[in-house]
Amino acid sequence: MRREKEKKSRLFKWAAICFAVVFSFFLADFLMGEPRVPERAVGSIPFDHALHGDSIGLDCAACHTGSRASANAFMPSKADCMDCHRLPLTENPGIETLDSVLAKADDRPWSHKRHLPDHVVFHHGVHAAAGVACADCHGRGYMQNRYGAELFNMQSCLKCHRGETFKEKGFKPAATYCAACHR
Amino acid sequence: MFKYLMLAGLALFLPGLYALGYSIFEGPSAWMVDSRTFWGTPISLFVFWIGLAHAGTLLSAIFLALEIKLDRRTALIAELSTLVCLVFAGIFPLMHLGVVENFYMVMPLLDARGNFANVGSPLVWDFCCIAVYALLSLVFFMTHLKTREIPALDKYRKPMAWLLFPLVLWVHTVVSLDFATTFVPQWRGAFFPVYFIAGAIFSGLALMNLLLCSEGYRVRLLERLQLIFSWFMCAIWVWDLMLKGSLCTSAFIFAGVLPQFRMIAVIRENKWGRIALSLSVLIGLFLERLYIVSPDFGSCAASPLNWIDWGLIAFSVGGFVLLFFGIRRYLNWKMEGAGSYFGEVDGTDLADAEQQELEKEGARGIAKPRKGFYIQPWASEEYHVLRLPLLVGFAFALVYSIWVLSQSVFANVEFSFANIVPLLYPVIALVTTVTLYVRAYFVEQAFTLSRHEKWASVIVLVLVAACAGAFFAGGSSQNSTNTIDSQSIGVDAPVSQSHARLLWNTRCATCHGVDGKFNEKFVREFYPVPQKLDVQRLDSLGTDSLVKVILNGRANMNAYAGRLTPSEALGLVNYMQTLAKQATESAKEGDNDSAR
Amino acid sequence: MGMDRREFIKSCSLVAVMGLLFGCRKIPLEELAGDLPSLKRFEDEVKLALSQAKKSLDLVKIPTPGALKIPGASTLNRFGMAIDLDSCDGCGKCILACNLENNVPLVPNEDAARGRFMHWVDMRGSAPFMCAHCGNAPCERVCPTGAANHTPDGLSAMMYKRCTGSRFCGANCPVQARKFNFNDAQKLGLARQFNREVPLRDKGVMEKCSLCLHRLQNDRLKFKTSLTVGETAEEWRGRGVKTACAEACPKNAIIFGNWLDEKSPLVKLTKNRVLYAPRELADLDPSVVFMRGRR
Repeated sequence: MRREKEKKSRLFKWAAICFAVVFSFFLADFLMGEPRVPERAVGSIPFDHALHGDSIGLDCAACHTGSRASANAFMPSKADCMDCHRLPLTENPGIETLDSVLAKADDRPWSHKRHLPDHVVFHHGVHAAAGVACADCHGRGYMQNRYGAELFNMQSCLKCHRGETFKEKGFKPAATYCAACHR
Repeated sequence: MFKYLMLAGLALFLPGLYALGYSIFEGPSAWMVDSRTFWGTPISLFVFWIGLAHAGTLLSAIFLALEIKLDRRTALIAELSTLVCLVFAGIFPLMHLGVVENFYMVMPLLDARGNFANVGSPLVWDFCCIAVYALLSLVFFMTHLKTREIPALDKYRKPMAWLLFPLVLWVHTVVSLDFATTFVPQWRGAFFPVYFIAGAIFSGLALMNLLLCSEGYRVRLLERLQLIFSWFMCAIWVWDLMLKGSLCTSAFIFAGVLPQFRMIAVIRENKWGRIALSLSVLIGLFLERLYIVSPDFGSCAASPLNWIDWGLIAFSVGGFVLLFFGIRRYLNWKMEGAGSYFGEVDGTDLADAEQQELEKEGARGIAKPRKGFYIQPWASEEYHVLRLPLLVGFAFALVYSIWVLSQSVFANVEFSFANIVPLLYPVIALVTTVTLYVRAYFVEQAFTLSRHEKWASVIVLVLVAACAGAFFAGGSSQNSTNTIDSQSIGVDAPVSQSHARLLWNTRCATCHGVDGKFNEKFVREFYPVPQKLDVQRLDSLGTDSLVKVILNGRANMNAYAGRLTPSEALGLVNYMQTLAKQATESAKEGDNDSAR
Repeated sequence: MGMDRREFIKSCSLVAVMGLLFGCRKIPLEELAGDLPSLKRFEDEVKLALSQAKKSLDLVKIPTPGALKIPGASTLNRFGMAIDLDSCDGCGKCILACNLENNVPLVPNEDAARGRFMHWVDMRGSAPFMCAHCGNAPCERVCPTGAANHTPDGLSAMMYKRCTGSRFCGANCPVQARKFNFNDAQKLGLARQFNREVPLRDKGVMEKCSLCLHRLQNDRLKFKTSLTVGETAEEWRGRGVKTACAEACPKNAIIFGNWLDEKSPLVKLTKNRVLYAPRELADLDPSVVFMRGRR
């Protein structure tokens, strides 16, 4: 009985040590690594992606005008919103609030600090031309107004460039040398 | 004596610490470097101290392996001096980096970004070799200390010595390769490894003799070795002179000519004479290191060292004195059985110590070969102890090299197995040691750890894992200084068809559809139906008015003037016409098909 | 001494910590300028560099560069330059153009007086000299972190964020083409981002001619964006890209192009010329060569 107890306590000790070692590795990794992308503030205009996506036949590029041809995908300007919202679009009473907010809004309501570091060159247009869909990288979280950047780190970029992920999509082999994406 | 030593050490250490802090803050501009040499005092000091570290291992480990009798006290002093020298040898390569916080990038392991160090670089070999060397020397030292309490540990000293023996030669060869694998003409030479090792052992012997003088006794064997090595160094210097026509005269005088005075009995029998001889060797070899590292000096006696350089030198010398004598004193004083921890033998010559060792070993019953009796290496006791751990070590090294060679970062690099070889022995030695001691503790139960020591080892293990995690993560990137905004209008330049297509799909397709008809999903539910864009209508309106529509807007379409340039609008109109033509052609084909 | 050992050790460690901290405090070498340095200062520095004659290069004949011999090398692109010594008159406009294009920082006065500039292009004798982007680069071999590496299309690239500042690459360049950021140029008000396409470098990293990597990158990205998925694609050859120095030369003495593209001006204009490289680099397969005389 006592020997069993001793065995159990030894096992427990070893399990605890293993756990402590593995935990400290991951804790250090978490603390020292890239900070998580901060959830961005909603901004002055209450925008809901769920109302503006595939369900109404809108492509991402309609508002994020650079996502097919430019490096930056850009955020829509007020003029881009007004292309459609020049007319009251639904009978929903909320539309009046939206219209009045839009009337008072800045020309560029969604300016924000770029999250990607300056030494990284990322070109949306090249990826779109290669057949990468917006949802492949940004996920479907945009429906909940999430940027999807939790997935973005150098390792995830490299994995796709090396052909280790998205195998079913059959992308052309992409450049993996440093100077392809860095300056 | 101890008090004076510590005060002298402090007097050197404190200003040195200030110089160190200043250097780390200011970076490489603080000490004397220029665009031709790039390395300066810190690297000279690094090579100097790592050379001194080797002598400790030479004396304790290599003598043990080769069965040259050395008393316990001398061996332990040698091992302790190795450890203290390694502390300083480790500080200098770190502080000389331009971006110190990126030092983790030199580790030859995969990090969180999928990057790998360039394992073909001598600095990576350096990093690994010295780290492993420090760890193994520490383990060796602690084993030796503990043999007083746990005689069973003595079984592991010789196997460890055999592991350390090639490691010493390996580490300093790698340090010499830092220089010899480059293009700098003064650093060329296949003899560099031999040169550096000889210099290391020579300076280390001088340090040992100095330390023994402070202990109050002497070991004649070491002094004779020092003389012999001075001849060896002179031979190498003369060879270098004939080969390259350069000689560091002050180094030659201090470390080549003056040590010959040992042959005069008056000097060697006097303690201060011996101290002077050893100091002369150390000074000469340091000057020689300065001369090697900064070959454009000219005469190294006229080297322009500024106060930072002197501060760094003082830091290392003062720090060594403080650390070495402090630890020595602490071990003597705090540990049980004060005064005999280092096997204090009172001012005897080697012959007496030899006798005592032989008697002690006879008592423990370890078989010692008689003179002239040859034992096959694999019949020896050391080999039996090391067999399994070495196998594990070799297996691990094999797996590691295969893993490194398969890394995709090396896809564009001329990279072969030969580039990894310098890394392999440290890996083997590390894994072998770990296996050896794990087996000794768990399987053979050769030693036990006190509760205190158990907690300490768990804490160390956790800290090592945390360091590994930090190295793996590799720090976070600097934030961008740019702002994401809406798209600004471009420069007014002619637009290619493919670009027009992209523009259409972005700006127009929401209502007008990708094919130029209309986007059924969007238009029916949310927006008034746009005009049909067929060929007749487009032709009747004409290109100019169409461009105006795009820029100035129309009934249900906002103006795009501030967002699209006139050339872009023109490109869109042309693309529109192409789409319309494609639509009529496919409609015709459709009619033909249905007619058939 | 009146105190006991414990107090002595305590006071010693206190002094030690203070010494270290004291040494770490910022000693301002030059007060931060506040304003960015003027264009004139950059121009004056180039003039100063030109006036300090540097040793001429020792040139030897080399064959025309061909494809790179590294694994994974592109068979279509190998970018390089040829500098026509018959046309070059040593005016130095290339140096100024490169400095402004790449945001090369100024140096403090004492470094300038000793001729230690950060310019990527140096005038050696009367020939402009920059990194030769060797196919078998000695600098790339010894970089411990892999910050100095070779692209498949022939550039010897320098990744500033991966640099730990060991300066091994600089020590190993036989012609001292590499420059080290001894100073924090931004803090000292010596740097100005004339060109937003090129990042400013931190203190402690090496830099050198990048063959205007940013221009090549932008061109390549633009080219790839306009490709349609599924259509047969022409490969990108970098046609039409010019480095800043090549653009600025009034005599068109610097020719940038693609050694593997018969349509490239580099190939066309070097066809009948004798090509040279510095003696130390001749065996290292340089991409940037000199030319003189006709074959």
